[in-house]
Amino acid sequence: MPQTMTLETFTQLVGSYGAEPSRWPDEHRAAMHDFLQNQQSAQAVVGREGSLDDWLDQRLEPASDILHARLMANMQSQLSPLETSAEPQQSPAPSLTRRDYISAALPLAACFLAGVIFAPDALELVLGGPDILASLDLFADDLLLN
Amino acid sequence: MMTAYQSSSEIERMSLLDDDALMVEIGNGSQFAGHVFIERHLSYVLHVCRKKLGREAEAEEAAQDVFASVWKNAGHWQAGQAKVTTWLYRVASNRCIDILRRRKPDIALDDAGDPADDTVDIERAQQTTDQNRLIRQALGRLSQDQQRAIELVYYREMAQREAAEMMNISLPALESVLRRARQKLHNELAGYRVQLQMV
Repeated sequence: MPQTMTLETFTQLVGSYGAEPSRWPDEHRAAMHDFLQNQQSAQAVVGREGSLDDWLDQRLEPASDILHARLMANMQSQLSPLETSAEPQQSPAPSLTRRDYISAALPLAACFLAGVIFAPDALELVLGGPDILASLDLFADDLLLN
Repeated sequence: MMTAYQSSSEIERMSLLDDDALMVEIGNGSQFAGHVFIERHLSYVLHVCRKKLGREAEAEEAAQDVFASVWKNAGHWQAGQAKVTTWLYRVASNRCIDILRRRKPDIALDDAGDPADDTVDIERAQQTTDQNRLIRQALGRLSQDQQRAIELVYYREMAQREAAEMMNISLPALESVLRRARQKLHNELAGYRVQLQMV
């Protein structure tokens, strides 16, 4: 059951919900209407709150998030950021350093050395003993002499 | 790559620039300047397009075209020749006329509004967006709860009980939040009125 409207209650309610009766609480609306009709001080309260309502009404409907995102995306595709051009350009083919050459040559040198050390034994094992090697030497000498 | 901190300080730096300087930065390809430009002028451009077209989808289409025109032409912008907002208004008006003609191919130029004689409209649109900016600033100074209460009860016209439930507070608490919010807004409004009287 709504209590009898007083200026204090009226001021508090209008101070919360503004001057527009459609925003007033349902259970108080009729009593507030009656009070407003009969009390000049209530009309002053409504006038004061109404000016704030009018001011707040001037807020424009904001742009949708979708439109905002589209505009940002379009802008980013149309403008190239300055900081990118200020950054050093990465060379597509980086030049080789001395360290690169050394690390590439080391495995090759190791293979060559292993070849010098182990090649005679390997040939002997494959071709079947020192006689064969000796005849190969003779054959080579003949070729060189001819 | 820029860090988030560097980006935000760059945006802050750009937001201190006036419109002419911002156009120069955009002409140089600065996305930060573009970001600030959108934040600064989107409400204005959209307001103009909404007023002229009345349909949200078409207004959004026109607004996108206006900003595309900015990115394209900023490099040729000559400071001091015209106000950026005046130029934006004209670009928006012309685009809206194109859209109105597409809607009704036989529309006469006079019916669509003559963009050559629209000084009053430009000023009015500018005042509306300036006012909008002030209201948003004032609302932005409220606490989170107060902002939410005003948004729900005032702008979304939600019933008090429903708004209180959404905010997970009692009805008397909602009334108290709203009262404090409106009191703060009264003070802000009084401050602006004093500023306006001083101008």
